[in-house]
Parts: sequence; C-alpha cells; structure tokens
Amino acid sequence: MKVSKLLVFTQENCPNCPVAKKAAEKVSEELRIPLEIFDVTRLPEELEFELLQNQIYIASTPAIVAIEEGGMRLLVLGDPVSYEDLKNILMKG
Amino acid sequence: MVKPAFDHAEEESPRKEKDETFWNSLMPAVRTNRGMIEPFDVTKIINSLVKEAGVSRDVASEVARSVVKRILSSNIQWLSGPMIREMCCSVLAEMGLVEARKKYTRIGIPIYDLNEMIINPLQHTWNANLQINPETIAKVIYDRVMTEHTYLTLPGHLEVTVPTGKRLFFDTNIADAHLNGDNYHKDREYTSIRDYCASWDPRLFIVLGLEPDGLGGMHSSSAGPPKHLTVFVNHAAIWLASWQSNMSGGQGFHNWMESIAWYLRGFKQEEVLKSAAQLIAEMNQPALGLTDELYQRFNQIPREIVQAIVAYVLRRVSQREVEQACQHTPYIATQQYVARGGQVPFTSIDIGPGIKKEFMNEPVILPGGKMSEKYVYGDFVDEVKTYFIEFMKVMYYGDRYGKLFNYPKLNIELREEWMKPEFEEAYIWAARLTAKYGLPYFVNYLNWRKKIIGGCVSCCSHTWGAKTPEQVEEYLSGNAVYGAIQMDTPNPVASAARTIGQDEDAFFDDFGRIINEVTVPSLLHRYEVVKRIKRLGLAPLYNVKRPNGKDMIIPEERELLIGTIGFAETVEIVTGYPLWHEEGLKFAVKVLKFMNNLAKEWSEETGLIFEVTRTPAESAAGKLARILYERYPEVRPYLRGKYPNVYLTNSVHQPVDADIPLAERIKKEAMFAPLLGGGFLQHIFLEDVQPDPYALWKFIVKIARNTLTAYFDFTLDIWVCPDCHAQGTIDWRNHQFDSPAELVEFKCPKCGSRRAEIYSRITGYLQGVKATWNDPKKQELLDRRRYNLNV
Ligand SMILES: [Zn+2]
Repeated sequence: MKVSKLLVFTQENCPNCPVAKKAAEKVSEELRIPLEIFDVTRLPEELEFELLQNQIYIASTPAIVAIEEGGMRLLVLGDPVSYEDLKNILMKG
Repeated sequence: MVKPAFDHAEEESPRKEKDETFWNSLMPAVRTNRGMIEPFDVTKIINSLVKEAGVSRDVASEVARSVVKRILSSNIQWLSGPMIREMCCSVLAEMGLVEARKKYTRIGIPIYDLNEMIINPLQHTWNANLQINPETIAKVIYDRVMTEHTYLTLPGHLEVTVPTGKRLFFDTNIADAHLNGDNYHKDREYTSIRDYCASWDPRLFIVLGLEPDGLGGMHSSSAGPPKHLTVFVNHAAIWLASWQSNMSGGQGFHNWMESIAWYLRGFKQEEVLKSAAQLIAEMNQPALGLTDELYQRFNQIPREIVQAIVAYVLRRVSQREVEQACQHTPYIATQQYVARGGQVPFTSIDIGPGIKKEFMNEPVILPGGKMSEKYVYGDFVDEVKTYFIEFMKVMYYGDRYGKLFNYPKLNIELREEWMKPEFEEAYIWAARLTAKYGLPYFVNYLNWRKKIIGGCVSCCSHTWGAKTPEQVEEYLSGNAVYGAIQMDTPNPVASAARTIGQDEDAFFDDFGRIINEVTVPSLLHRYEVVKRIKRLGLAPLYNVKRPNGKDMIIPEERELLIGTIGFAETVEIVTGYPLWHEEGLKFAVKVLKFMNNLAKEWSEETGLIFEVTRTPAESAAGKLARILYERYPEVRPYLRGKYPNVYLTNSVHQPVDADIPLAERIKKEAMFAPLLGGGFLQHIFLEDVQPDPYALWKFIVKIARNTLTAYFDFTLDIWVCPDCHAQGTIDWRNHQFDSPAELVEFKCPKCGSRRAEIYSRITGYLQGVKATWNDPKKQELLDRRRYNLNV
C-alpha cells in the first residue's frame, strides 16, 4: 500500500517519544515519505475528527499513523518503537 | 410578596388568644394522623406552620385564620388533619408563599390510585426491571412517594463545599428542569437516600468475610472468609444483593477470575486423573488389604466418582464441585427475588478465560487476607480456563427448562494475553452463548483501550479504570471500589429546539447553561446526600472498612456522570444532516468534546470526578420525547416512533432504524467511544436466527481490533413459553407486529399460550418485553433494523 505521509504523535514527559520520533524521521528520510509531528494535547480539530473516522484514537504516546490510499493506518500506539520495528510494521501493511 | 398578617401583632396578642379559643369552640372535631379524633386546636396549626413551613408567627396566624373562616363558611362537619393541611397549603399558595407551601405540603396518594397500585402495580411504574409480586406493590408506592419527595426537596438553592475547599452556590430549580425535560435526573425515587452503582473486587469478602448489615452481623449474622468454592459463590451473591439494597443501580464484580482462582486449585482434568491413577496404585498395595475382587470392582466405578473420591482425599476441588459452583452462580443471582421491591438484583461479573497479565506474578490473597507464599495468580491459568468453559456451558444450557439466565450479566473481556489458540475454545463457548441468546457483553481491551489498567464495567454499563498509581495498587490488592454517585442527562434536543433556526453558538450557549446550571448542581446534590448518609450512619455498609482501612464508600472518589441522549435527533435539528452523514458526525463529536471540556472544568473546580457517559434511558427516551412533543411542536418531525409512542435515540447511537450497512453503523458509533469516558455500549441487533458461533467469534475479534468500540453486545429476541417450555428466536423475516399493542398479544408459536414472553435487550440488560417494557421502548423494538451476519 502506498504511504503518502507519516504522522507522529508525541507529548511532554513521554519516555518513549524521542526514540520513536527519531525512528520515524529515519524511515521518512529513507523511504522519502513526508512526516509531520503533532503534540497530542494540541491536535487540530479536523485531524482529530479524521483520525476518529479512521477508527484511530491516540490514547497514549508515542503514536505513529500512516496515511495510505485507502485511509489511515495505525502503526504504533503507546509502545516503544525502534527504526527496524517501524520499518517492519510499515512494510507489513 | 409576603403580606404582613397583623400590623400591630404585639398589641393584639391578648385578643388573638381569645380569638383562638373562640374559633376552637366553633369547629368540628378532627381525625388526626395519630389515629385519634381530637378537638380542633388552632394553636396547633399555627405552631406547625411556624415549625414546618418556616413562616413567622404572624403569617401563620393569618393562614390559620383564613382556613378557619373557610371551614366555618362552608359548614364542613367532617375534618381530617390532611384536609386542614391542604387548606393551609392552598392559602400559602394564594399568598405567593410557594417555598413555604412546598415545605408544608403533604405527600400522598389518591385513594383511587392506591387501589389501582395494589391491583395493577406494573401499570404504575416505568421501571422496566420490575416484575409482579407483593413486594412490587410496596416499591411502586414507595417510588411514588419518594419521587414526589425528591421533586419537593431538590433544592432551588444549593450550597455545597467541594474537596478543593471551595464553597459553590447554585440558584436553580432542578426539579422543574427535570419535569420540563431539560435535564433528566436519574433515580428520583432514590436520590434522597442512596448511592448509585458499584463494581467490587470479590477479594473484599475473601479478606473480610460477610456481614450484610454492616453492623458486625448483629442484625444478620457474621460469616468468616470463604474457604471453599461453594461458600465463595454464596458470599459473592449475598455481597451483591446486600449492596443492591444500599444502592439504586447495578452491582458487579471485577477480578472475578483472579478471586476464584485459588478456590479451583488442583482442578485440572489431567492432574485429577493422574491423582486417580496414583490412588488406584496405592489402593492396590497389599497394605491396604485390597483383594483382587475389590480391585476389579473399583475399576468399574464411574470416573466421576473416582474423581470425587480422589478430590476429597487430596482435598482438591472436583469436576462435580466446579460444575455445581458454576450452576449455583446464575441460579443464586436470579433466584434471590428480594432486592428493591422484590426484584432480582441487578448484577454483573467481568470475566475472561484466563488470568490478567498484571496479576500473573502477584501473590494470591488467601481467606482472611494473608498473602500466599506458595501461589501466585498465574499458577491457576488452566483452572480458570476450564472453569470459564464450565460456566459458559451452564449459561448456555439455561435453567431447568432451558430458559436463559438474564443475570448475572456477563462482561466477557477481550485481552491480548488471551488472543492465543489455547484460549480459543473458551471464547468459542462465549460465542455459542451469544449465538443462542445474545447474552454476553464484550469488553474490549484490544484497541486504544489496551493500556487501561484496572478496567472494569459496572452493571449499569459504565466503564472504569484506575487513574493514579494509588488506584492501580488498590486494584491489584483487592481494595478497589469503582462506581458513580449519580447520573444526570442534559437534554440536547431541548436546547436544539429552543435555538432552532439560529447558529451553532446559540445551541452551545443553551446546552452549556443546562449543564452548568442544572446538571452539575443536580449531581452535586446527590454527592451531598451520600455525604449525609455516611455522616448519619443511615447505610452502615458505607462506613465498613476495606482491608486497606478506607471506607467502602468514599463520596469524593465516586464519579459524577453527565449522560448523553438524543444525539441523532439533535444533530438533525441543528445541522440538517443525519447522524451518519459526515456533517452529522462532526457536529456530534463537537458536542461530545464540549461536554468533556465542561466535565474537565468542573472536575478541576470541585476536585470531584465528572465524566461523560452513555445514558441507559430505558425510561428517559420515551419521557423526554413526550415532553418535547408537547413543549416544542416544531421538533415533532425529528422524534422517533409514532405519537403517543415517540422516543429519542439512545445516547450517541445511530437511529435504530437507520438504513445503513452494519460495518458502517458499528464504526460510526465506535468513533464516539473514546469521548465517553464513563462508558459507551454498542448494540448489534441480529436478524439471524442461529448465527454460526465460529463466524461470530471471528467477527467479534474483527470488531474489537479494527474499531474504536469499548463495549458491545449482540441482541437476539428470544421467546419463551412458561406453559409448554418451548423457546426460540423471533424470526423477524416472518413476524410482523404493527404496534406495541400487537406485541403484547404475542402467543406461544407452539401451544398458543398468551403467557409466552419475549426477552430482548431494552438497554444494557435483557428483560421481558410484554411484562415490563414501556410503550415507547416497545415501539423502538419494532423499529430496530436487524442485521444478518451470514450474508
Ligand atoms: Zn407454549
């Protein structure tokens, strides 16, 4: 499935966020997928609604979502993730 | 305005006394509520007006004088206390002293109504959980009196000190707001005297034993901690029933499997068989004196008996004992016909086929509270799995005649640690139970809810979870008590009706005003009530200590729930789009977020816990719609059903008759679940008469993983005949009911008995349609769009 964008959700005092962010940045660079980072406590209303419609709710961070042709896909929710993990999850879809 | 009764009260007092004596001499005798006929005494009236209505002596004298004049001029020869009181109330109202009248009035029931209540009690209640029996009559009368009491005593002015130390003042008429349909105040008959609902950990009675009176067993008896499986089950049932008498809402257990685990120790098929082989070998030793002939005979003994002997010898639980304990559970839950006016207690248990991951390495808490040095909960995974299957089987086969058990409600937990092949058989049994009766509820911990610790569901379908490390500790150590103190539902349809044709802001202004000025003080009122109950010791169980030393009920830790209703209608009125349209969904999310923001602000302001939740609305859906119909004719086209059986759509659900595919319906409801912190239950109404359990289980997992749903059920409509004991599923493809009245005419398809009943899910529980559902809900049942999973 073609991924057109990666969305990364973080917040303050989130122990696993920095590593997840780095992993996402590396994947984004390597696969040339645009990346956007959001603070989960200040989500744009439109995006929050779109996530809900795609059955995604960022209940914990770090979270990473891929925007694909068919809609959004949740890759990570609240768990630590490395570059390798993320790449694997992304490829699986 | 208050008119002064006497301009020169002081000077006139000697004359007043003379007047009073003179009046008394002219009056007929009075039948008093002390059961006596007494001479008329105007001083008593004046004194009681001062004491009870809180008016000045002068005002009281004026009222009394007017009443005496009326009695004299009308030449009444027969007087009773209540008559005089009502005459005083009438004079108070004429004088504009409305608050004084409220305090002085008498709550009663017209004799005609009371006769009707005695002969036909179910026609006098909207409570769908009431059945007919003599206690029901007591409850119907009680409900009427206490509801009236609530209306009269709900404060127009509320002052409340909250945990943040702030003193809050509200000037609002909560009772009027309920009566005119702006805010639905749940449990009116109980709001002056009880807390609402709770979910308990069975380890509370494992440690403490059982004293249902909360007074050390002085009025009941005191039972020690359970040491055996059957006693555990008994204690569990009595625990819920006694709490039911102390609360208005449902009672449930969380951590059931962990709690029962130790009582199942040794209950493993293979191990029992191994023990049997060992025993046979031992018995074959010459030392035991077993002859060849005896040994031959021994081998012919049925296996279950051998197992029972082995279990007894090894002090282990036998298969039979576990089966019995499983059977015991739904019977004891549905046969204690004793709660709140002879109802079956409203009970639930959260169960899964294993031990939850956070408990795997926790030491077992033994009867009396000692920590086991030998066992952790994780030692009993096999036992609880087998127990789970046995329990599902019992529920599957139903009672003596195969009728479904509607309690305890089974909340089947879906957790990642059990999504493994070794648990599949157990879950398939839950799916079989679903396919047969639509009985279980599925609690989802596979999606965004996977990180929730201490998650549980109360019987009223509210969901909870530990929020702080202290709460996690309480949950793990068997000290957690979850629940809510009250639920109030602001009516968004009324706000939409009032602001029809204006912009969204007008709607939010109006709706926000209702929440802030009515819903919140209404919730805080019950918080005050529960504090008072505790202070005065009116419900001794509330003050019993948990093992960790905290009181069972701590008002500050209980939730104040802001309910949701009629979103489908609201969205249509405000946006012009149906709820399943993108614009409709957007607006609904906006309303929910608005409510959540207010809940958050009030939590910060008060230090209490406000949450937004689903409203069960078994009565509210019809009542609010009827009020809206009368009060705002312009919203009539938006109401569901047909007058007089109009109703609102429950909570944030899609309308039951919306013609949308099942997957779309599930997703377009599930997306609201994260915004309903107090809980949200989704229903899937099935058309299939007998869905395939394997396909059903696959579907359950698919819903749980791929949507935001928190909690869902499958609803079948089951008919049961008490005369020929036949039962079946209503096949809606062949059944046509045109009205609620026709539904009541339903006869047993096999023997034609009129006593045949239909069981369906009214909201978060199953109940007999003919006997207990109100007409708007019956209309909703007829309107439900049902889905076929096999297509
Ligand atoms: Zn029959």
